[in-house]
Amino acid sequence: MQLTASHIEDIESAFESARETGARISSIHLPGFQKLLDHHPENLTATVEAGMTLQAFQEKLSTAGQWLAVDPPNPERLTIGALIAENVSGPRRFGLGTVREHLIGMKAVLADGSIIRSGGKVVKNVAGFDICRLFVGSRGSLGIILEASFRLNPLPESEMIMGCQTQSSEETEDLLEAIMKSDLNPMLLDLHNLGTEEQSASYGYWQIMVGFAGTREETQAQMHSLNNLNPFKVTTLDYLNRFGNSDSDATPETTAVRPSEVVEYCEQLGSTKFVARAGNGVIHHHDSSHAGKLARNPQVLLDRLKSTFDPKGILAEIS
Amino acid sequence: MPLSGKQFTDLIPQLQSICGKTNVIYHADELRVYECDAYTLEKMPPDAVVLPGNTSEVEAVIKLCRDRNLAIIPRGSGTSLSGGVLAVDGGVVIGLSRMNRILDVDFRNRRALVEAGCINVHVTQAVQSEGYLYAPDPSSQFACTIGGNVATNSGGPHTLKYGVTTNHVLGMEMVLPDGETVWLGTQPGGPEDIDGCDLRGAAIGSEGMFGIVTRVLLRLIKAPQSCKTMLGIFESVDDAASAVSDIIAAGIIPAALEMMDQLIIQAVEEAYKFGFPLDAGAVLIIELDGQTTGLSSLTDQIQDICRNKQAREVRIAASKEERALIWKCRKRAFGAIGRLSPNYLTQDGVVPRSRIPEMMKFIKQTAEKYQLRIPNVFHAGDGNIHPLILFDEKDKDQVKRAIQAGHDILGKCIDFGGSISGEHGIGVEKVDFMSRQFSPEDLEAMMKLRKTFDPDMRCNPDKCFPSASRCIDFTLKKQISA
Ligand SMILES: Cc1cc2nc3c(=O)[nH]c(=O)nc-3n(C[C@H](O)[C@H](O)[C@H](O)COP(=O)(O)OP(=O)(O)OC[C@H]3O[C@@H](n4cnc5c(N)ncnc54)[C@H](O)[C@@H]3O)c2cc1C
Repeated sequence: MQLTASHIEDIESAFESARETGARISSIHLPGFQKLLDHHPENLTATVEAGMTLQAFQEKLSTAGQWLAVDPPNPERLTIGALIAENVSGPRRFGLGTVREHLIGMKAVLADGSIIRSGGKVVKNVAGFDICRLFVGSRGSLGIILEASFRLNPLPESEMIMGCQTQSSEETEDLLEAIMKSDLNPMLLDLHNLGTEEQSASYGYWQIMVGFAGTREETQAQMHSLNNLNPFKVTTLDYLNRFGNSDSDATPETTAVRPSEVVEYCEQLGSTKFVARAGNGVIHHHDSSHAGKLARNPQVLLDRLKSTFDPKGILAEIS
Repeated sequence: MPLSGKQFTDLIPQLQSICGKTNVIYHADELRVYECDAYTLEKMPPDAVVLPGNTSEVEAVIKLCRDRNLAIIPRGSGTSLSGGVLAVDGGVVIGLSRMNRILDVDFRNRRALVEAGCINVHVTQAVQSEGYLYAPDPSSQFACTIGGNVATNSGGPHTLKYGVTTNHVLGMEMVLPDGETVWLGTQPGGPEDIDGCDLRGAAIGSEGMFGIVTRVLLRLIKAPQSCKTMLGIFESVDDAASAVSDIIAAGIIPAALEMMDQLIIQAVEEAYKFGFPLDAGAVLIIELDGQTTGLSSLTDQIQDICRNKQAREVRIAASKEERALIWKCRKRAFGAIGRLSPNYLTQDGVVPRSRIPEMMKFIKQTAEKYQLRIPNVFHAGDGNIHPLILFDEKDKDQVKRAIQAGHDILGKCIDFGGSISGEHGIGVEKVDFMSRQFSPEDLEAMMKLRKTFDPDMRCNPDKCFPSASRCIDFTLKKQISA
């Protein structure tokens, strides 16, 4: 069943009816929880209600020249709660990490109706167990996230995206390896076969994408060093849109491998369109025969977690 | 409950048959080494200490303890500052010191697989020739283990920019208290992402209460191209503290931003002869790192901020050696305290960084109120204070005042919206403050998580949560640490 809550009471009554009917709460909407609760630019921290979209949150933070350093797709639709519970990420995760690296505190309501806090509003904190991170990727199985506190980053003064077409898988792997082992500090390292913007109709060419962020001085210097490794051209992140929009009805498959296995894997995909996080080993593609399964958490712990946090099974299945 | 004679005589040969005769310690005089950690005011020897050599030995020991319903206490190097390895009620200490190997280094995928007893600094030493490092660098890094770091989610000076242990541990092998071995998070040889809840994250910082960590998969990072270490010399703590908040408020995240006040400067100078000005009110160690070209404008900006706060001078370390000496002074500052006082007690509370100036004033007032000396050396950029409350344990009244001063400071951290611990953990030391920072529901949820890993609560019992079994005397003394 779907949970739509304007007030905390709505969550309580939804829990009540889930307990009575035995129906699981499988989707969560929190239209009544969309406030920015605090933003302390001088501390680079903020606390926001879970129903606010990531885009709305970023807009508010940007007025102080700051942001939550994650860039998952569709921020205009993605709520803060879903960002955490689904653990979604984007291309800049190579340099900036996923949401778990930025989350410092959380308020949630558990299946028994208790409202709990974990972590806090300071950037360093080891008091108590880390229930915040337990909720990252929990997909609504352990409780409903109501608020989250984050450490923020200053918006970089400049950002530069560079692209380079490669001719063979050997050349691709050599170049990726050279970048990984160099002194460069890219914030983004992608590989795709969507061609360049100009070639948008002709897929099949592999492109390595490298992004730098920081002071203007820094990004310029990194750009020069990258060009010394291999000639790159300044470009944009447009390929992300082209991947998203092509085959619009098919949800892309995601496969994870080690970064060193990305090229080999992408080669096996043949002419299927793909965008790969080459530095992290995450490949989004449209070949369902290659749908890779992620490793799972130990079942014994999942079973015990579920039976202690949600013994009546009113929330989503755990994984 | 300490073991009876019969239980005891049975246990030892069985432990010996698992780990070998020399790796089981049970004579009273030998156990004294294990009666506390770096928090030395509470002492309680365990019934026995075993030093397994591999994961299967750990499993066998744990199963034996499970069958006999004995408490198990994981131990790394015993540098905990919160009594994390104290055998409050007896039990078997499982020491990881023999499991100290680096098993695999994979530069292409930026990972290293190590045994839990591996000493923190050995990881960086093993990879630095290739230009990599393991970022979390607690001041105790020459002694403490990766397993201990995982259990306490350790930080260090450079965690301001790079993050703490949880940001650098990809996965780990853990033997649960029922003897089953699980892998949490990224598997060695597997992809970074795994499905579902972040159980690795949930287990980091669990203070040895979830199971015994036996192997850890670490994230390696590329060493920065260059770094610039500055010393901002200030007339007063106040000025230095405002410079810290101004640097953060300007959106600059240095690699490290540490403060030492006058008393510490004097002690450190006497011990390590760096050349700190003895009359300075406070010194900031500010380190920037990254791409060489990016550093100069930031250095200028930081110098301006310091000068605006009346810095007497901003010195830039001229050589690698000078930088190393600065860090030696900072990381060994605790060691220099012996010159000031026979005993000290340290807190590691956290306040929002903008509250540091107020917090420093409060610490000063507290020192005056209780007629104590309280030098400070701390991770200013994170808002993570380390007031060192000096006392002489022979003076009972002074001991009481020191304890009370510590309580006041922790209470203030909570009032400021901060936390009672930024890195040392709760252990036995700060147990009573948990219910001031967290509600009963919060604590109940933590207990649920703990029971997921350890339904019988046999792993490192009597830590973190207020428990009825403790006596008043223990509560009184437990604020004091080495
Ligand atoms: C001079 C000095 C400076 C310090 N500076 C810092 C600092 O800058 N930053 C910081 O964060 N800390 C600091 N500390 C505190 C301490 O060094 C850290 O907490 C460190 O992580 C402890 O590691 P250890 O191997 O000594 O663990 P121990 O002290 O042996 O144990 C600490 C905790 O971890 C658990 N544990 C140990 N090994 C395992 C394992 N394999 N599996 C499960 N649980 C385990 C124990 O049960 C205990 O609860 C300092 C301590 C000293 C004495």
